[in-house]
Amino acid sequence: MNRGRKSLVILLIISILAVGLTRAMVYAQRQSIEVERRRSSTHLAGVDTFALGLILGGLRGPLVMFLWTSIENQKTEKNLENIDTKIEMVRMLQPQFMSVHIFQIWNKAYNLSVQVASLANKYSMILSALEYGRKVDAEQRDNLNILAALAETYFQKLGSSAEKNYYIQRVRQDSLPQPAARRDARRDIAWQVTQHDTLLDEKGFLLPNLIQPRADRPKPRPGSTMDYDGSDLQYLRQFNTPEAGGFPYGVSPLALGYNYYKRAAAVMNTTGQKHLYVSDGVVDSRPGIVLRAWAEEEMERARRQEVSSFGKALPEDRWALEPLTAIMPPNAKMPATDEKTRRAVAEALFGYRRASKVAKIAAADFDQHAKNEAFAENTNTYLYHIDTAEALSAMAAADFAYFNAMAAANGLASNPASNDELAALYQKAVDLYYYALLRHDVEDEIAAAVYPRAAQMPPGKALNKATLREVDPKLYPAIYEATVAEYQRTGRSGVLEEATSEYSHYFERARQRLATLKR
Amino acid sequence: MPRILPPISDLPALISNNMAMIVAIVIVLVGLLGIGLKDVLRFSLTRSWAISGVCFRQSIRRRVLWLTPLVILGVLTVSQFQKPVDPQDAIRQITSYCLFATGLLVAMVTIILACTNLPQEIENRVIYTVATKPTTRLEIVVGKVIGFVRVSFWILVIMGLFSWGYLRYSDWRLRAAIRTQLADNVDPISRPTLEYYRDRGTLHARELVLPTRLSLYSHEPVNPDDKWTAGSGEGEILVQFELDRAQLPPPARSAIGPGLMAKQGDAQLVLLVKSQAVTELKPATTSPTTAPATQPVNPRAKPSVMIDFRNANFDSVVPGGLHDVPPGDWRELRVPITSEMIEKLLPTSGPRLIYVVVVGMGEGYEYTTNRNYVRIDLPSAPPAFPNAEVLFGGRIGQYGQQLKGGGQRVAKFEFHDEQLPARNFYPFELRVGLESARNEDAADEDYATKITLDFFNRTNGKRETKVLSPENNRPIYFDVPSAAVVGGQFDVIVKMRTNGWVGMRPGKFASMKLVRNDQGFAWNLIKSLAVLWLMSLLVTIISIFCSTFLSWPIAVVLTLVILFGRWGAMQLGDVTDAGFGRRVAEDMFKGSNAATYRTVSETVDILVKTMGIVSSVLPDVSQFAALEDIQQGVAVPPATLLASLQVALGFGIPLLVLAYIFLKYKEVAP
Repeated sequence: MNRGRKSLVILLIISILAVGLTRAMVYAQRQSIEVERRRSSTHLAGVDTFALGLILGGLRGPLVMFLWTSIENQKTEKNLENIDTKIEMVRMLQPQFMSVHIFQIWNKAYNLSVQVASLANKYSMILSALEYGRKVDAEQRDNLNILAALAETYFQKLGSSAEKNYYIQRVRQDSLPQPAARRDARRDIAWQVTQHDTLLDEKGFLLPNLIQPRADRPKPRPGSTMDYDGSDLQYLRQFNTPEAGGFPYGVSPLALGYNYYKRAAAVMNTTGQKHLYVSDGVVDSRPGIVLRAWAEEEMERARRQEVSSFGKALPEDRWALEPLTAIMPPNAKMPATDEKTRRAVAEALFGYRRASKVAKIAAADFDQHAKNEAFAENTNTYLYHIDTAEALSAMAAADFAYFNAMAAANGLASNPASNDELAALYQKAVDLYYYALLRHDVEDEIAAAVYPRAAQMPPGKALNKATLREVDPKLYPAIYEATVAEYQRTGRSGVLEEATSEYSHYFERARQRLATLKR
Repeated sequence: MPRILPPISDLPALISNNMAMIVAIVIVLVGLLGIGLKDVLRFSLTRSWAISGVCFRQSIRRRVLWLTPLVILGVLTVSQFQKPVDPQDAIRQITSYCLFATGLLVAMVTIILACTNLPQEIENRVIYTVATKPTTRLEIVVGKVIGFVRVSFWILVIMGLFSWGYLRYSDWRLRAAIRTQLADNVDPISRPTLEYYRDRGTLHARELVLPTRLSLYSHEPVNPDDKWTAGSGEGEILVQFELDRAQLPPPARSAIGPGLMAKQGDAQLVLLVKSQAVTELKPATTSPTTAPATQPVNPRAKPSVMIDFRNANFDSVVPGGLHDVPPGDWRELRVPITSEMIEKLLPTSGPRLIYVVVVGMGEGYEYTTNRNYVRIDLPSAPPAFPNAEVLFGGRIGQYGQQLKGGGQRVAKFEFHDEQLPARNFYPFELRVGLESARNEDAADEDYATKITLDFFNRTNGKRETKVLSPENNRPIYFDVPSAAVVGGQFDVIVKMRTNGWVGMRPGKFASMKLVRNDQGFAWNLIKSLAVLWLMSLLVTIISIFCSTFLSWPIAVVLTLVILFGRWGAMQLGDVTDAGFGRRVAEDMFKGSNAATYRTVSETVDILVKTMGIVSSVLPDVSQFAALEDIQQGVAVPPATLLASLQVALGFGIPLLVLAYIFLKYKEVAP
């Protein structure tokens, strides 16, 4: 080898070393900026992304441009063949771009899922969006944007869309322990997933690996107020105790939505990450909102089981369920007390108890959010949520006790509450609903005109919405009646009905039960 | 304005349209019978084969075959990234990876080897050893082409074996996974298709029978005269005419301008149309209703039709207005066809297909006409009559013609296949688009779209009904007992039982297909590889041609330009239609004086026309359709192989002759 060539080889080696050194420096710098990204175990998850990037080198950009155009064209043409492959490629080629991931999760869960006809295939497409999110999460742990995107998919798409009845039932079923054949099917299938991952063991408790704190969780910054241990379902652990009962009827997507929203809020609190599109206040308020929706869902499930245990046909309209058992006495006889009824009773009781607990946590969550000075501008908004969540919790607790008494009368439960205890429980729920209605849903002008006339306050104090809490709850019915009369007088009864539609059926049911108990 | 380009753009259409063929014939005749007659007479295939052997061994020594394991590794890697929607999509994607990689490898290897060979041999004087022997330049060129084609043949053999093995393995794995999934709880909509894949596999080479016609009616016809199209703009009757502009000379006018009415010299469309109220049954519901079972959807809507004039591509060209058609007897409609309309409808001289379309408009009514009741009165010639039976179609939506569900409307696919082999069951494929209008709270079973297929054998009168729940834009497979299909003369009446619309297509991409035979995947793969081999033949010839007068880097570039020139021009096709020059002038030279505007406009138009003519001389590589059919599981038809052969030889032979001529006059050895 002549001298010239030797020099060239030496120069090349030095250049390679210099490039390697520079890359290491840049990488270290980026590590310090990005919060706790890609730590130990997550390196393996990014192997495919890294490998693809390495193979393509400078061609990554043009390929991504082509793929984006192609995906959008296929979407417009409603041709979903191989579109998932292209989206997966985009994920691997643009691993650092959170906006890309947020968009693609949305794209799959919303834009693409509506392009298929059957509910099973829609569900499959939404699961594919969740799988996408999980892959990004595996590569970039504890990223607020991805956690929020996962939460939104569980909450909005699986838990709140027009097809939610089907989706909620599917997620609950899929999360239960599966027979070996189904597990094998999941492992072997190389195409789009058709079932959600199993989350529970044989006893209905969360699988240990899902609630195992992670050693590599981000270190909390000074001043953070939330505890974040990095486990996948950290915030469902509170329901996973023998006292709470675990999840014997599967995990609701709303529960999962709550968990991921709560994790997002915790990550924001402990690491200082910011969401790309929404404010800190919105991120922090979401867990409470999902909890309330979850409590409503549990309540509805329980109600269905209660109605079916009395052998009544289930109506399609959710609110048509309310009056079916409302005026039945606590010792009403069920048409049968077979195993099927026993299971329905057990599920109903569990649902009422879970609904009460979840609504209570929701109220606490809203309260914590409202008291956070950083989000102080929204305090009044969340007072409504707090009051209605507390009322819902009381209502579910009363329904639990009442139905337990009904079941006990049929030999299907034990420890029935006395009629006085039941009346006290419903009275509490009624009082809370009266308060929520009079405090939040009556227009200010009407409240100012009616409340002082309807009830007397100690001298020097005027009765208004702000001082309503100081009034004896026994006066609430009178204030309510006067308010209704005023609305009727002005010909605007519909306004109040519209404002209270969210809980008026519970309110009515509680009053009917109370009347039955006092008879 | 002076002409700035040669008069190539002004050639008559007959010549410019057949430019490629004319040039090819001239080159071959002049090259072989004129310039190279002596070499043709001396041509020896043995000597060419010997030269090819040298090329082949040289290429093998350059370890080109070592590239195949690398490409195989690439295919295996990329396959791991795929996320198919179903098993068939998985196979489709793997097939396309395998064949795309094979094609790319063959093309790249061939270009590099063939473009570098001659220039390098000339540079390092290796060619002396051949050129100084009693071999002709024709034998050298032919020998080199054969040599490189042999190399590409062996690459294709290796890649073909890999593709076949990998696809068989993937099919085996997929079928095992399908069996496992079917043993579990599968939703009822996916089950039939998964069972089909389990039983018949995912690798296919289906020989398909396409329907000859698709008609959409507002209710199922009970006799040949009982054909009606739907209202609400959702049904139309297409009447085909063949007209020549010469039949319609412009009439003399006293004035021109907007609002010009018909003159005595105008042509006139005359047709009889009849309407009747629809007895639409309400869709089946779970709860009874006290509403009357039959009623017009909207009694206020007036029964009327819209006349539309369309070109051969079914594009609407000029409207013919809205006309009331009260229910009852036939009603005569007269629609003037002005010279302005003729100019748009028949922009050039010569016979041309047009469609007069009767679109049913008024809601709650159905409409009919037939070919005997439609004519175009011409001012100075006998009337023109339709040259085919009328077509009953539906409104065009995202997925083709829309059939509305929940009522009496039907679509009819007509099949005519005399060569259908006898079988107990006949497999069918259905792929439709769905646009739903359903109750979103319904349970899955109710939520699913349901379609009824009623098979009616015209030969023996036997019927067979199938109820399917298709998925949107995905194939669904099912078997039909022999009696309803045997003989190949049968109709399929499609009715959508749920609310919404189903989109269906006729023609090559027909929504319903009968699988006549399955040729076997291996044979199909061989046909696809044969197409790729023919492509490599063309690439080799072009590369050698370029390398006879250019250095190898430039030869590579020119080869790519020749290969992709036509494709590039076709990609620009949509923007380079008539009036492109005017649009460019408007966009870029707005406000310029008239002379500049005209110069730019005409120059661009001439350039576009010239580009079109030049690109028409270049090879059409889109004819090497090796992927399209095989990845859809459809047998590669002989027509594809023939088209590939036509392009490879039609363009390759003249270029081979040119390469020989260039080499003949090139001083490569003392």
